[in-house]
Amino acid sequence: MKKKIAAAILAVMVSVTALAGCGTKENKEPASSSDLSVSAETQEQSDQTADTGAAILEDGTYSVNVELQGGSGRATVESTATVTVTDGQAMATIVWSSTHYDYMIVDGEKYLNENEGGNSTFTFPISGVPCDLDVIGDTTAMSTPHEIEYTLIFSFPENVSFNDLNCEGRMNLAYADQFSVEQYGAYKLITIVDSGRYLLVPQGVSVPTDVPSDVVVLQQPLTDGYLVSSAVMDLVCKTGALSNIKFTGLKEKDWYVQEAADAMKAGDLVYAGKYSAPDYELLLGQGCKFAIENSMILHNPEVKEKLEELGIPVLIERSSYEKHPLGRLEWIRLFGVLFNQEQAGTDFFRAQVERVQPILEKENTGRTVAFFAVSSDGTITVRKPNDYVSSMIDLAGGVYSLNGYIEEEENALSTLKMQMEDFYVAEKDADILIYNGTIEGELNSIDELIAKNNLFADFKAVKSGDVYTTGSNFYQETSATCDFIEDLNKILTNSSDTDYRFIRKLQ
Amino acid sequence: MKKRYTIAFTIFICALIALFLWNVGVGSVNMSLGDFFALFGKDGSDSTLYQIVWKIRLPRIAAAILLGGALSVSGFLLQSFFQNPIAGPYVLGISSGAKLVVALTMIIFLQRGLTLNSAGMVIAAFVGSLIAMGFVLLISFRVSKMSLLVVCGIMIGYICSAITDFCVTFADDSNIVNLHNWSLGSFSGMTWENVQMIVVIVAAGVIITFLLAKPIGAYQLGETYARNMGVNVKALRIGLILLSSMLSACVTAFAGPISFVGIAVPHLVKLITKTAKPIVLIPGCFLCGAVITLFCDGIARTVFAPTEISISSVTAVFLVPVVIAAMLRKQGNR
Repeated sequence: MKKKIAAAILAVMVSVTALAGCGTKENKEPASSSDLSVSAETQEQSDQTADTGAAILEDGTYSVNVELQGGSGRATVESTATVTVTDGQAMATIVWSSTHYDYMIVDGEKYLNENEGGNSTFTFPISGVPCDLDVIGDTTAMSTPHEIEYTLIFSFPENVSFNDLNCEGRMNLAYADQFSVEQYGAYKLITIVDSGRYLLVPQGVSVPTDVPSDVVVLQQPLTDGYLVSSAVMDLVCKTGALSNIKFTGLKEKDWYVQEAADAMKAGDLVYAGKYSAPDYELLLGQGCKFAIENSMILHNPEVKEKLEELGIPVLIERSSYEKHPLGRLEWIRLFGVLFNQEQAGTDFFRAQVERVQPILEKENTGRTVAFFAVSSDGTITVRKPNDYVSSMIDLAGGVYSLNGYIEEEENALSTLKMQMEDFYVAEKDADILIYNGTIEGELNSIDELIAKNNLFADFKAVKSGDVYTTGSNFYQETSATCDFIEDLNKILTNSSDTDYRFIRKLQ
Repeated sequence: MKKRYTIAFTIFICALIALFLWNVGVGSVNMSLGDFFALFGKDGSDSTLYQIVWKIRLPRIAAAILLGGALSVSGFLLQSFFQNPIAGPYVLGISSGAKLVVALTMIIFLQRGLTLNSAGMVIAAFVGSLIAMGFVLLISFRVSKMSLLVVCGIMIGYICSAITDFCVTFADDSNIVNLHNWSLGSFSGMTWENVQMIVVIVAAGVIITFLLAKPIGAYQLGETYARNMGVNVKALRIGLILLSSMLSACVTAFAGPISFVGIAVPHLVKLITKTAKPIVLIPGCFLCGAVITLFCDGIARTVFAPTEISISSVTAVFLVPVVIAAMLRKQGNR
């Protein structure tokens, strides 16, 4: 009998070993060393980017190299030009070696000499740095004024030390306070609160020497990324940079961002394991070049360390820590910077802010709103008063009903569990109830809510029929912050327009 | 009998070699035999495959072998000590103590905006394990019945779990999720630095255990017999608890709690070798534990790749029948 038991166990183990060996049919071939470099398609995309324009600079004043080509070769310009960027528009100031240039024509516009009596000086717009610019200079040195065609080549100094770099400009952020972007010559230094510093090195520019060990170097183009933070996928998509992401920490069925789900279906986006246990082999084998994680990774430091050991830099985003909902949305500008789509990111953000501006200017309705979910154990999960959801309610013209009831705390906790009796006391007279469908699933009727707890029948909002539920897509569709504010405003103002993006009224 | 030992050890070693090769060769990225030999070629060290094998698979395999072996030896020590077939490395509250200190450290660090690195986590888990072990040691001085010590160990585990739950309730919600992940146990993300530390602790623990084989053998035959044989029973008891706890603390610190290996492997080795001699069982448990852990880890990382399943789920599926069979066997013997 004992022998039989031992034999049976060994047989099972051997069979499973064999089966497991056969179970690797979906194994991927490793990337050859050449595959690890930028793919041909990606390279082409990047080349197109280089052709169409230079990297966008943050607002500030820069010293850049300038070289003059063309003409007879007798005239030159000073090798250093000043570039001033205001609201994203770069203006270059160049100084000629001669006093005889009275005007220049740049991109069809005529610019006059700004330094009468001294060496001719001109200020004109440029697309950014680096860039090549065809210009015309009019010289009066000869018997008759003469227009000469030149090419100005603007570039940043090469082979610089990190210690020699100075902050020359910074991104003007309207709402976000969890990140900053500073321009150091050709480089952008991204600082994320309690996360770290990241040096963004443009394509074709060498990494500066003496980069401190705490600064993570991100070399553009950032392609083949592993995006674990699902809440920012929508923002990445909206900058048009989804093709820069190749791996995710969510499976196809878990995506509410349609572009991501479609990309997974098409095989352009691959599931590479969840954040706490990524498939390192898959990531390394298929040439992953960077990872975007959220702060959850800080609780699994060994994962971050292992990714870094494998040469995969990790950026930890903290968009969910933004107190202001538009601050959370403003992170799209950071992803624009990372993926060289800064203008697209900034345009999207500004358009959204402009859209919601009329609502922000309206007077508060004073109506109270409860935002909650009922857990399977009967406790109530609510958002804290200083959370972005409660801020959205305030911005939409309502009053978050737990304001003043729960003490605001300075920690990362965004949700809070309450016992039903506390919730009953706090929310019984709330004008509107909104059920958070992202936690325990959406509700279909008010009866379903009452079935979770009979006490809900006594709530003022239930009696008046002002009960709503959010869709399950609410959390992931970060770019639609303004849509949610609009939805809330429609409810609060009893608008006749009941075409909601995220909210559904329960019957 | 010696022939039986030779066969058993040959099986263990052959299985270990086979599983080692299987674990090196199988994963999310395929590798043929030709690819494997190419790694030793001129440009082998520059290839992606080399990075995968050297930086991902080998440290993980080494950790699975060492920690699996350590866990089994730890289980053997506790079963000898308590003379209880279900006494395992975590019965003395080791993993609960580790989890408590990891939770506290994590909460304190993260609430102050500080980043905890993996070495900090390992140290926190190890300290937690040792604190739990310290309590058990204190109690062991006061109780004479071994069954009472097991109960005390379980109670310490409950208290640690209760304090952990209390702390987690008032911590950030994201911490809760991650503590859950930490409780599952995994060899994922092992580095050579981890392996170096594991080698030192496990080698010291296993060698000392092996040197204590004779007094352990005498103790198995009864305390009175051991005393008559000149064994300092009190010192041996403390030694056994210390060694067992140190080995399981090492496992918990580096890989998290791994279920059933410590309980089932000693039974399996006894079944195969048909002996209770510690001098045979200690190396036997180490080898068999390494084999089974390596096997289960291979299953855990490959079957549903890229999703990795908890190694404790795999060990439970394969080893729970062993534990049940061992208990039935014991009942049959009575």
